[in-house]
Amino acid sequence: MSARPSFPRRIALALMGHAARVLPSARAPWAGAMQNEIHHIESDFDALMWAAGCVLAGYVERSRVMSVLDSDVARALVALLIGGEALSMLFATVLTAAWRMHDLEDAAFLGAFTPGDDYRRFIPLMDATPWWIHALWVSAAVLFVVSAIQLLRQRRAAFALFGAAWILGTVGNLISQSMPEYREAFAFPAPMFLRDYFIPAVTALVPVFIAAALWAHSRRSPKIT
Amino acid sequence: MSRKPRTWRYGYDLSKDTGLSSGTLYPLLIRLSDQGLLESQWLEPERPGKPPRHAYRLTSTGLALARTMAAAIRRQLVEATA
Repeated sequence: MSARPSFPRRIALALMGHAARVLPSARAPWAGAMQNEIHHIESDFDALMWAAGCVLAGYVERSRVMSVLDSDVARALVALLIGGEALSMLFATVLTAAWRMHDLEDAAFLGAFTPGDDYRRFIPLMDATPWWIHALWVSAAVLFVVSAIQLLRQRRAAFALFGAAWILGTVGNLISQSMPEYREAFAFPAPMFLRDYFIPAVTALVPVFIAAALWAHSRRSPKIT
Repeated sequence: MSRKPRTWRYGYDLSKDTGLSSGTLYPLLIRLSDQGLLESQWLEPERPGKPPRHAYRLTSTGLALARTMAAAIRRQLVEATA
């Protein structure tokens, strides 16, 4: 009958068990390697230090395969944000369509979401915007939606699709913003922090956040879970 | 490992020889193995009653890389001291 292990040795063995559980399942042989090695260390103190290091190694390996998008809730939230990007891409096109089809009730409703709360200030801009800029925005919106679906299906293509959508949308926005009618529509008599700085900054940062999360998620090795 | 390339080495021995803790050593070994620079195998214990041990040695690619890097470091040291 073997003697009961010392207290430090028991702590070391418990730590080793924890390290093995923390390691990703694809690293199971390495967990076994670390666990078996401790039985060949004579000194209890060295065994304890060894086990503590293995816990650290376990977390290092775990952190390499973790992603903010591992949970269903996080993926759903980011998919919703991507859906928001798609809606914002469609906004100008839908407003223009409502205006051109004389659906003034819906145009007024949508206008309430614009700076100045009135769609009529955008009439010259809507009239001047060529159809192909709307085509760019609609294409971007479609790609955003496909990207969100791919994310929910945990496909790596979500990042590339999001990037393509963002580029198309940004090209459309830049061309639109270079038009004199745009500058007229967005010229306000007095500056306003929320309207002029805060909302544009948040609007610009949200796609960056989404892209970063998708990029990190797409870089994970599919073999390591 | 590059000095005795055909010898299998254990994790604890490598840790003692290099002064690296297991928390630093194992992530390094895992990276080297992923990149095909390190090979490993389970060896029966030298003492009865102990579990098998995971042993490591550089692959031919790993050995070539280690020698190239060592030569580059030596060159840099010579240049720095010249």
